[in-house]
Amino acid sequence: MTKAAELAKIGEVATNGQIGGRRNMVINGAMQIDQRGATVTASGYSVDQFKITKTAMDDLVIAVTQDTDTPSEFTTALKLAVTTEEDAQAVDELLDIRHIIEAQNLQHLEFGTSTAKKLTLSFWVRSSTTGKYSLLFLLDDDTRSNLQSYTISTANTWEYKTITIDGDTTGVIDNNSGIGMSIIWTLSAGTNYTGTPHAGWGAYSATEDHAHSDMVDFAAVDDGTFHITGVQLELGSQATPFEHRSFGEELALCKRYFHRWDSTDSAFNNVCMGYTVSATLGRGVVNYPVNMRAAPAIAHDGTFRVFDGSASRSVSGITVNRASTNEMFISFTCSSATANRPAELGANNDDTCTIDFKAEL
Amino acid sequence: MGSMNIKSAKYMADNGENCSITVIINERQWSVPLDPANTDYAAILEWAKIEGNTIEDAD
Repeated sequence: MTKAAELAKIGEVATNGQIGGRRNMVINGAMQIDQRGATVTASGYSVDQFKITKTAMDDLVIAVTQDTDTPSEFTTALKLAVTTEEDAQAVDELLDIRHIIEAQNLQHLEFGTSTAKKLTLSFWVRSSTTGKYSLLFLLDDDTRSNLQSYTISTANTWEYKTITIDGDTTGVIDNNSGIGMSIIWTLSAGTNYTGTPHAGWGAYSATEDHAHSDMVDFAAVDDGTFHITGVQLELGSQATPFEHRSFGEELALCKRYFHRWDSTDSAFNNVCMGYTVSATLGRGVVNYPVNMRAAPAIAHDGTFRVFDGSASRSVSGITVNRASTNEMFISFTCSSATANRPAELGANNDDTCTIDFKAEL
Repeated sequence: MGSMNIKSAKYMADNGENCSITVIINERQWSVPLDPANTDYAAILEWAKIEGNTIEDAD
């Protein structure tokens, strides 16, 4: 690059406000936050904010985990490993990794106007299968898409990729807490998802614009591995160094969408204080650590109890009674309790208890 | 691209008013608030539109 070109790039970076302040629109791009800490084998989340979609695969067995094989700048990555390959790709089969950004966090892109801003996505990737991979930017509100690709040049080697796209002057991103943009790393796509994609931004058709027909079929390779980390989406046409945020800050950002309460620290950790309504019913209020995107769904595992100051009673169910984005009034089913007593709800000598609060996009 | 396997949805009520849905999603039981912004609730409503799928009334 010539000195003049280099100066022009620096000028562009400064003009776009990329220096100073928050640059990365992706949450958990370094894959540090893994609240579930689980191996995922179906559609769902391993690390926070990066969702696996596995559709109609009848042979494929995968294991998705947080992994420590990373480029030197990072300590964690998302790893997708193929345990059993897909024998023959059917038309309706799909495997991808997606990151979904809340709409109100993208208003500064000015999409849907003549001043829509350019975007640059950068990430580190490593795959056992070389070749062309599809990467889709998908807008939910006006169902618009922009299909791009990147190439894995060397097997099992970390490679840094950058992709710059124009702003979409047509597709509006509504200013709300719904889906704004999905970034989708497709790993395998049957012919229902491939066709003749339009160039740049355009109306999305799942059968034409989701993936390239000449992309690799990662799912077809036994013992294949795919790693990704250092994902950053920023304004402008120049990728800048990854914006490392503190663990606590990243965790708080993730908890807007998913929060796990657990009893790892104490086998008698309390969920909340409440009261007994009857011998079989209690209620209490749970405050979330941060405001959540929507009123969350909850699921619980482990052995819980309610303690009314004199006796401990087992709890068989915890359900939503009333929920908002900042607190939840829960009901819990118990047995042989004394009515109208204050009650603490918590783990019953069980350090594996969890309650998941889920408001993901 | 449905990635949610929904089974046996049932309303839960408090003082005669529906307040949540207890549902099995991907083999796990969830209690889902009646919030249109919650994607699980939206998915349950879509699921219930399919012939043969019903959200049971509360007890």
